[in-house]
Amino acid sequence: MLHRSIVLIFTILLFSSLKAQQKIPYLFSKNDSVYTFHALLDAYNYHFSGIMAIKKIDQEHRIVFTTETGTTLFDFSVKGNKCSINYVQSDMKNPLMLQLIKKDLCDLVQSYRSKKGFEKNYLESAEHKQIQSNNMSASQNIVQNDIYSVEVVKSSKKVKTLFYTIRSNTITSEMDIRITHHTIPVTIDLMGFVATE
Amino acid sequence: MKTYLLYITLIITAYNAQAQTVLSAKDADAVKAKITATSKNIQSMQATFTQEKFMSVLSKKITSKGSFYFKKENLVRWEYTEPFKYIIVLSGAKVQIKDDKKVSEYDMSSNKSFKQINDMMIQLVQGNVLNSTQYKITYFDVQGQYMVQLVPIDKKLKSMFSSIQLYFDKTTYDVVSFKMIEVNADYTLVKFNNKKQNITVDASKFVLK
Repeated sequence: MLHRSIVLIFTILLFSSLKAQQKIPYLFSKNDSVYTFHALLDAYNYHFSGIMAIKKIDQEHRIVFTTETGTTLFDFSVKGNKCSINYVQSDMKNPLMLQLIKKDLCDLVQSYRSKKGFEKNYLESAEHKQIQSNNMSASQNIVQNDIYSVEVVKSSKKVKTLFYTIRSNTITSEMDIRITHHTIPVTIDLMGFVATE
Repeated sequence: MKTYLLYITLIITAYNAQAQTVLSAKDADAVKAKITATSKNIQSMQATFTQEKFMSVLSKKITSKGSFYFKKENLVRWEYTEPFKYIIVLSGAKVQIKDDKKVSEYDMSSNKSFKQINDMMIQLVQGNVLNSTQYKITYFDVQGQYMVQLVPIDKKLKSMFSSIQLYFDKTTYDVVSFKMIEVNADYTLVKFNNKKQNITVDASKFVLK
């Protein structure tokens, strides 16, 4: 009886663990593919909306945000651990807001540069190591079916939460990502992820 | 080889010169008067639109589609249906944005560039943009259409756009499309189709719930 219970518990744990590992796809990995989102940025008293596109070219990712009125809001490059600004519109030049959004988006792209991310074990992932190096910790949770969250905590206080809502299981699926900061009024919404060749 | 290249360059230059001619001051004044008169009669407008965003870094265009509504004085609704569904309503100083999750409301001052471009679009539909002192304005005859080129003088607009090109139908003087060219040569081209003017556009179109 005890043996059966242990096997059952082990099986449930294994399946729930596999579910978490399988359903979060490896993003932004294909060379020359363009990943587009409908994006909303709320930071302090600023609000921007439009399309955010991410493209991987060899070892570099470009992150470009274009507003629906046709202007480029920012253009970042991510190469290795370096995140640089190619262009930023004057409305975004609040240094605190700019640095925070740049960091969030570059971290997001860098997290999936390696397949060690969610696919294997989040605790061994590049993202988690990066978070730890900043004296913070993070945990991966299943909020409900197809909604996953990563909570970043510093000194037992929640700093930010990343929510991943997956609409299907393939890499080219639609996906929503929301980054919410808990200590400052900043939210980034990336909706309807679409990958095109 | 160099001779061939020279011939090709000459042919292209000659073709472009033929395709795009600067209007004389007299003709430009006449076209401006016709466009202004046509626009001033527009009380409301409904159209479908195709928006192409070209970004050199992506080396491809992102195409969006949807419906456009305008009601005098300053009510505008952009309803995007592809590739993402969302609606933007501009009503005076307020912006409302609806996606599949929620309606967000903002003051236009939270995005000054947005306000400036929106003002330009409303002026465009109303025909006032041709009297704007924020641009150096040149009129062109471009195969079947008049093209009005706005080169920003205003410092903020100048930092965003190298020029804005407005295309008008040569017979009706209605706006057909406009192209906003950024400083780095990336551009957004918006084409209007299925235009209906001075029809009843329900006030509810400009309130998102």
